[in-house]
Amino acid sequence: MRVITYLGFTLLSILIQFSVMDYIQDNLKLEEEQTDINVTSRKKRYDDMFKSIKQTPHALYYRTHLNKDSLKVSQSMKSYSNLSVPETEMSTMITNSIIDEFYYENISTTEDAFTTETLYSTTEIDNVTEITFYNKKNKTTLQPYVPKENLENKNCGCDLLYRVCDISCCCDNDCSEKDKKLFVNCNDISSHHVEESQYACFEAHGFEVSQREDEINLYDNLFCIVKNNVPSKINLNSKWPDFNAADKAYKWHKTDTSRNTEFERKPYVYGDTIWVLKEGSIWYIDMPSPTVNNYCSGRRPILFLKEENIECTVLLKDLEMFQIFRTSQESHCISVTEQSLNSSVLNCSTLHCTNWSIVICDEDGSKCNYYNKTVHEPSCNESYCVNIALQLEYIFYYYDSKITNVTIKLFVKNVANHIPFMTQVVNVRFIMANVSIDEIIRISGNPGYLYGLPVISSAAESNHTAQFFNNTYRQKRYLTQLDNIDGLCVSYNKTVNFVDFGINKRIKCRYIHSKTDWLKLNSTDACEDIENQIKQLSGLTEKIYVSALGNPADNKEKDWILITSNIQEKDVTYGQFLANNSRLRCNNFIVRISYVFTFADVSEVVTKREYKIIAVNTEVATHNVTISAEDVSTVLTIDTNFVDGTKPKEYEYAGGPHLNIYLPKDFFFPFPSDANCTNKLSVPLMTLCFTIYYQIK
Amino acid sequence: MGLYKLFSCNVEIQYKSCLLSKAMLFTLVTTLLTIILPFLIAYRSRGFWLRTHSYYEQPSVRFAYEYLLVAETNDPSQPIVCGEAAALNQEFVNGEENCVQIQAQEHDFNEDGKNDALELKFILKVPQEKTISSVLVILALDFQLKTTCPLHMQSLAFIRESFILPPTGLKHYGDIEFYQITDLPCVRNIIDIIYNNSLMSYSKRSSENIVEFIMTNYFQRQFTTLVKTLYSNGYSGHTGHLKIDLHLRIPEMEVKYTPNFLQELKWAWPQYLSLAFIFYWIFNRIKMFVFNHRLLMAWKVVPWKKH
Repeated sequence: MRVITYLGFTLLSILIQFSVMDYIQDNLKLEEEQTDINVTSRKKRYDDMFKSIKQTPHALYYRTHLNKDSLKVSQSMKSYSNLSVPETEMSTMITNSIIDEFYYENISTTEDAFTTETLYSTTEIDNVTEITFYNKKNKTTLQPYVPKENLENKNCGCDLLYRVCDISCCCDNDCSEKDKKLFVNCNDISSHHVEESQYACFEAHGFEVSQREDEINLYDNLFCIVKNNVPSKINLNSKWPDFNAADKAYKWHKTDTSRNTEFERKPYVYGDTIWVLKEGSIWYIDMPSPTVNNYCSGRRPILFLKEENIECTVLLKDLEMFQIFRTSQESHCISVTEQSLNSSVLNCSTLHCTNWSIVICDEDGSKCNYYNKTVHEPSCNESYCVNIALQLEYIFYYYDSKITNVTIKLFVKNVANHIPFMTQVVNVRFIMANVSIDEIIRISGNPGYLYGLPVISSAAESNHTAQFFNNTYRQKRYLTQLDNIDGLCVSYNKTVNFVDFGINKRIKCRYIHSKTDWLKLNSTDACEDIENQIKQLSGLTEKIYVSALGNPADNKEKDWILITSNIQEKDVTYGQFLANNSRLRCNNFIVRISYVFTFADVSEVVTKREYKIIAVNTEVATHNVTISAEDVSTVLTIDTNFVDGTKPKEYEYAGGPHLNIYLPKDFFFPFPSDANCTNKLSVPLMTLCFTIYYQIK
Repeated sequence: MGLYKLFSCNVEIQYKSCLLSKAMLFTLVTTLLTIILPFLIAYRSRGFWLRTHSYYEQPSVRFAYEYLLVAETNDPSQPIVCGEAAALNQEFVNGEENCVQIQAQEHDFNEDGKNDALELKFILKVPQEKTISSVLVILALDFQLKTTCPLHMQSLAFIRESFILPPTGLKHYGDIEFYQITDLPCVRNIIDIIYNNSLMSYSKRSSENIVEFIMTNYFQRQFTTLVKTLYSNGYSGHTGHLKIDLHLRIPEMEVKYTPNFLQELKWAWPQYLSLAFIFYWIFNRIKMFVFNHRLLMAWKVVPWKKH
C-alpha cells in the first residue's frame, strides 16, 4: 500500500507540475506575443534576461515556446559559428544559437570566433534554467562571438550564388534586409522544417507544412513535453563515414559479354557450336532469333544436340531461306574426328566435311524434292511471291561420332505480296541414327499418352499395330482434322492439323461447295449433296480407329478404338428453294462436328500418369442453313474435347493392423491345444480351479 | 450502523459414489461434454484455427542497377533496347548509342535506412525516321523484409506504356506492391532466400525472347512485386528525344504469412475458453439440480454433519 500511495503522489505531483508549466508557458507566449512588436523591443527583453543569466554558467537549458520563433534563425545562425558576419547583419536573437552551440551540443566554444565581448550587449537570450549535465558545466567557458565581415555563410544550404543574393534564401548574407523583405518565405518559415532540411529556405512554406503544424498543435496540450533538453536524436558516429559502403552498395554493372564462340579442336559435345568450313576458315552456323520482341532481330548459334523451335516475325527480304542458299553453296559442315585431332591443317581431308542437302517440301511436308534452282527459285510477281519458305527445318544426323548429314527442309508456299511481315518458323532437330527422319516413327507416349502429342490413328481394317510400325506404307499415323487455311476448310487428309492429346480446341472454317450442278437437283438432293461433301471432307464417312495408348506396340485389336458417330441418329436433311431459286434453305444441315475423347489415368502408381483413351465419339450438330446460289458456302465448326474420365481418388482409412501373434506350443502346456485332450483334461482342471476359488472366498 | 458484505466464500457439499454407478457415469459424461462441446462449437463456427495472418512492414527496396528498357518503334525490327541483363549480352544489340542517359536515385526521406522512393530517369535518342509506339521498362529490385518474416529476394518492376502519338516524354508515378499467391512460410530468424536470384542475370537458354523469358519465369514465382500505376502522363511530339521519368514509392506493404503453433494456440485459446466457461456453468447447474434432487444415487457429504 505504501508503494502504491507513494506512486500515486508522485504521479499527482508530476501532473501538477506539467499543468502549472503549461500555464506558465501559455502566459509567457502571450506576453511574448504582446510585447514582441518589433525587433528592438525583443532585443531589450532578451538583453535583460541575458544579464541575469550571465552570472551563472549554463550547461543545459530548457527551450521554451518563447524561442520557438527564433529557432528558425538559430539553425541558420549556427552557421556563423566560426565565420565573420557584418555586425549590422547580426540578428538580435543570436544568443540562442550561442547557447545552442554551448549547451545543446555540449561542446566548448573556446575556439569559436567570439572575439569581443561587445556582442553580449547586443544579443539576447531566452528563459534559461540551469541543469548540470555530466558535470561538465565548468569546462565550458562562454566566449563572445563576433562574426567577421564579408564572409560567406557556409552552412546556408540555399546560398549557391557566389557573392550574389540568392532569391528566397533567407540565410544568404549577400542579401540585404531590403532584399529579404521581398522574399515571402522568410517570414513564415516553420521551425520544424528548418531542422529537417538544409533547403528549408525554399521549402518551408506551403499548405502541407502548415497543416502538419496544426495537427501537432492539436495534441500538444495532451501529455506534451513542453521543455526538453535532450536532443531527439543523437548521432553516434557522424564523423566517421563508412568507407566500405561502396562495396556493399549496388552500383552500375560492368557489361560482361560472355560469348564463347572460339573454335576448339575437339569432338562435339552437348551445347557446342556447330562449325562450318568456308573458304579455308572456320565459322559457326547461326539462325535467327527474337531478342526483345517477336521480330527476328538477333542471331544465335545452332548448338549441338539442342533442338530448337523458333518463331519470329520477319520481312520478306530478311527471310532465312535466302541466307541458307548462300551458306549451303559456300560452306561445309564439319566434325572434328580423331584423325583431325593430330593434324595441324584444318581442311576437308582432315576434318569430316558434310555437304548441305536442301530439300524443298510442300507446306504440309507431304511432297519433298531436292532443291533445283531452275524449278524452286523464289520469285515474285505483282501480287504473289512463289516458293517462299516461311518454315524451315535443320536436320542434323549424328552417327559414329560425327555429323553425317545435314538436311535443310524448306516448306515453301506462295505468299501474298502486300503483307509486310511474315512469321518465320525455324526448327532444329538432331537425329542420332543413320536412318532418314522420314523412317523414324514417333510415338505419343510410353505407354500412356502425353499431353500435346498427336493421337495415333489407323484407317486400316485390321492389323493396326503392324500397319503403324510398317514403313512401306506411307499412311497417316496420326489423327488429323479439318483445318482452316486462309479461311477455307481443307480436307482432313490433306492437312497436318493433328488432334493433339489433351488439347481442347475449336476450329472454324468456310466450306465452299465446288460443284455447280447442284441447281439441277431438287432442293433436298442438293442439300444432301453438299452435306455428303462435308462428311467426306471431315472424314465422317470413314472408319477410323484410334490407339488407346500413346505407344501402340503392345496394342491388341481391342485397344484400337473405333470412332463412333451419332450421324445415323441425326434428323433427315431436307431442303427448299427460296426467292425464286436464288437461295437454298437446308434444314437439319451439319454445321458442327465435335470429337469427344474420353480418357483415364490407368496407372497403378499414384504419381505416374498413364493416360489411356477409353472412348471416342463424334457428334454432329445440325442447324437450318440458308445458302445463296451465288456463293454456295457455309461455316463449319470443328470441336475437340478431351474429357478426363478418371475417377477421383478415394482414400480409405486402413483398418487396424493384423497381429500375427504366435505363442509357443507349450505355452498352455497343462491345456493341450488338441481338442480331444481338452475334453479330457480341462474339465477336471476347471472344476479344481473353481473349487479353490470358492474355498478362498 | 449497517453491515456491509466484505467477503464471502462457499461451503462445499460433496457428492460421492462408487466407481461403477449411474452417478459416476453421469459425472463423466457431463465432464466430457463440458470439455468437448466448447471445442466443437468453436470449431464448427469457423475460424477456430488461424489459417493466415498478416502484418504491415515497409520493406527495404533497393535498385539493383539491372534494367531493361525496350522502346518499340514503328519498325519492329529496330526497337531501341537499353539494359543491363545477362541475357542481353548474348545477343547483338544494335543502337546502344540511343540510350543517352539513365539516372537512378534512391530516396530515404525519414532516414530510417529504408528507401522510401525510387526515381529513375531515362533519356533516349529517337532517330528521326523512327516513332516510338510503346515503352517497356523492367527494373531489378533488391527486396528485403526484415521483421517478422525475413525475406530477401530479387524482384522486378514492370512498367509499360503505349503511345498513340509520337512521344517526347513520359511521367509515371506509382507504388511498389508486394504480391503473394501463397503465405510466407515465416520462420523466425531464417531468411527466406528462395527467390534471391535475379532473373536479369540468368543467361537465356530457350528460344523465346528476353522479355518473354523474364516474364515467364517471374510469373512462376509465388512472391513478386508489382508496380501499381497511380498517375501517368505522356507528352507527345517528335523532338528526337524521349524522356521517361519514373517515380516509384515504397509504402508499407501487407505481408501474409502462416502463423506458427504458438500463435495458433493464442488465437484458439480465448475462443475455447470463453465457450468453456458457459458450458461449465450450464453443466454445473445441471449437476446441482440432479444431485440436489437426488435423481441419481450419491452420498452427500455436508461439512457440518458428521456421519
